[in-house]
Amino acid sequence: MKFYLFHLMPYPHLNPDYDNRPTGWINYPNENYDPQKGIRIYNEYLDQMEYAEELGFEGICVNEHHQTTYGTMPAPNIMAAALARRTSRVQICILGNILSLHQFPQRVAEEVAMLDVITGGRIVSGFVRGVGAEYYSMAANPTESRDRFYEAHDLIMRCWTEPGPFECYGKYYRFRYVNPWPRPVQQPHPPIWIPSTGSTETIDWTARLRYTFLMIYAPIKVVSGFFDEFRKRALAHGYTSSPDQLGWSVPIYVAETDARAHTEAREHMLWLFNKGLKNPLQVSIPPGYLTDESWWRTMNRPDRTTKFFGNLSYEDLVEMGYVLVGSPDTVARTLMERQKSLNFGRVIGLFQVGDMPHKRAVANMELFAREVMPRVKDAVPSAV
Amino acid sequence: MARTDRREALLEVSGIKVQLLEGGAGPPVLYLHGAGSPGLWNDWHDAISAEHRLIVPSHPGFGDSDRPDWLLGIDDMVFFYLEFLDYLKIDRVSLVGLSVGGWIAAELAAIEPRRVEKLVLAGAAGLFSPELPMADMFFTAPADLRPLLYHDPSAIPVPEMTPELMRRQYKGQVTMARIAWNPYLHNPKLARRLSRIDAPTLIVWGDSDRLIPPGYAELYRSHIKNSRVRIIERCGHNILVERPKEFASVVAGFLQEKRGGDR
Repeated sequence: MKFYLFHLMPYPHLNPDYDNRPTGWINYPNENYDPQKGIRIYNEYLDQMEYAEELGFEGICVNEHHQTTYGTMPAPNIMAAALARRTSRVQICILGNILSLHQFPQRVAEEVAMLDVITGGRIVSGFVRGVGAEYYSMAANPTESRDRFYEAHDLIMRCWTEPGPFECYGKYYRFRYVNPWPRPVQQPHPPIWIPSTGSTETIDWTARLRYTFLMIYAPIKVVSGFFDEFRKRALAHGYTSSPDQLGWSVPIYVAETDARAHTEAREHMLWLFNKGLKNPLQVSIPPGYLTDESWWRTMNRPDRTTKFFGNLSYEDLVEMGYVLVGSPDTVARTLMERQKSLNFGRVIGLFQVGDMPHKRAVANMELFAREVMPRVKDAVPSAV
Repeated sequence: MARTDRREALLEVSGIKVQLLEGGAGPPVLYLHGAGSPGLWNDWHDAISAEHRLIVPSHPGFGDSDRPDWLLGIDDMVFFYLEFLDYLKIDRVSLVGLSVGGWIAAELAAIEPRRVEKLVLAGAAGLFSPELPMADMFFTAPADLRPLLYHDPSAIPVPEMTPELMRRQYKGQVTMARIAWNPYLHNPKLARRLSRIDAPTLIVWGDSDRLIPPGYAELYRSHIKNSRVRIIERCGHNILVERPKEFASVVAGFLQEKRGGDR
């Protein structure tokens, strides 16, 4: 089992009227962002990520979101660059660049290759479509999202694997001279991870290309179903997938006892799901972001949390397995049980959750690294 | 009278299935619907079809009409309708368009002015001015849409939300997003092209249109040489549903005017 520390870099200081707004994305006024507070927040978060190397995590993970309190990393490659020369061993996982928002996907190929060269090949390149809100924030057409994602992906992979210059004539991307410098250190290309909320199309595509599939923010039953689906799709594409191709992304909080862990975690977990992720349906799923069929499936999925983010209770989050909270013993046992039944090879843990202050986040990381990680690693040898 | 005369068909035009309602006889009128009401036939249609051959297709990607892969922008809608008129062997037609239908009508009249006998633009999308902000129909919660569409939402019955209706609505929203997400509900090139229109043009707007504000009526008038504005009072964006009879008498009167008599 391999452990990664994931960060969202949320902006925790919310305006008192925040809860009366439908969403903290898109149009929550940016006058509520105080750059003076930002100095401290960014640097504490970066300190946490750098510290993860010392604590023995396999990798540290950044990501891309726009115009939101939920995560203040609109340019994940900049954060990866900030971490590149302050770390020397960990993988830096960009989970991921939002391909559908790029007019020039070569820019992603270039930046990730730069990072891969600077770090001597420590980059994991994740690709995502972004959440629905992104399509409002950037005025990108949600009906083009999936096709642009595939086409941008194909172009980036050509950038990394095909000798340039070459020409590219797609539906959205048409370039006469594609010849990016530098090329990545890792050959044929950096590992590709696909974080997803589990659309059927994405699962099949990820399995077909033999990439790593990460499940985010779902009840554990749903995660289990999608991992099964991934393995089935891999078999249908002619191979048996490795547990390392499956990652479970989950907010984690560990304290000395179960009771103390729950008392301390509650407010931060609720911040993440009910403040950070709060979005009305038309924002979560803008028209065309899902195909007509996927949209209909989503609206009718029996296992779907009938409650949308924004009104889940802490008990819902714990019982449904959206989050993992408890004493080191509880968390280690739960991880081993889940690993055994779901057979995944990577845990992508969120340790600074919502408005969790620096000290608490660091204590959480330390306790997890000291008491949980070694136990689980011993019990579950890595697949590769 | 006209209601019994109404014909329904599923045509095959430009390689796609197109839902068509048709009624009446006489000079042809092509009605281009708004995003929310494909396949609707009400008192307005009865009144207009009393004196005209009224042709009411559902746009590609709305109602029972297919959404083809090539439908990516408003220009694709316009070229589809030129082919649709060819299919029906109609050379010249009067166009009545509401909302997105008004946008299609304005674009078509600018591209092929010779084929347009008369033009009615009702609460039409298509233009943009920073002084006239439009509401965001995509970002607006479903519950808040009705006040954008009606002067008095309480007077308009709420349709029962069946799975079939939900699917149709989503289909229409996706098509709207394809053609109108960005630029939002307009074509920056349209304003300059409108000077090509020579058909007599009536611009009809609800005074309480909170989706596309009534100021756009005057903006359209300023670009179309042979045009005039008629404001309907206590009426929102969806003129067809909120004021069908008044809308019918205004349009019927305009269609009956002799061409050239009102310049």
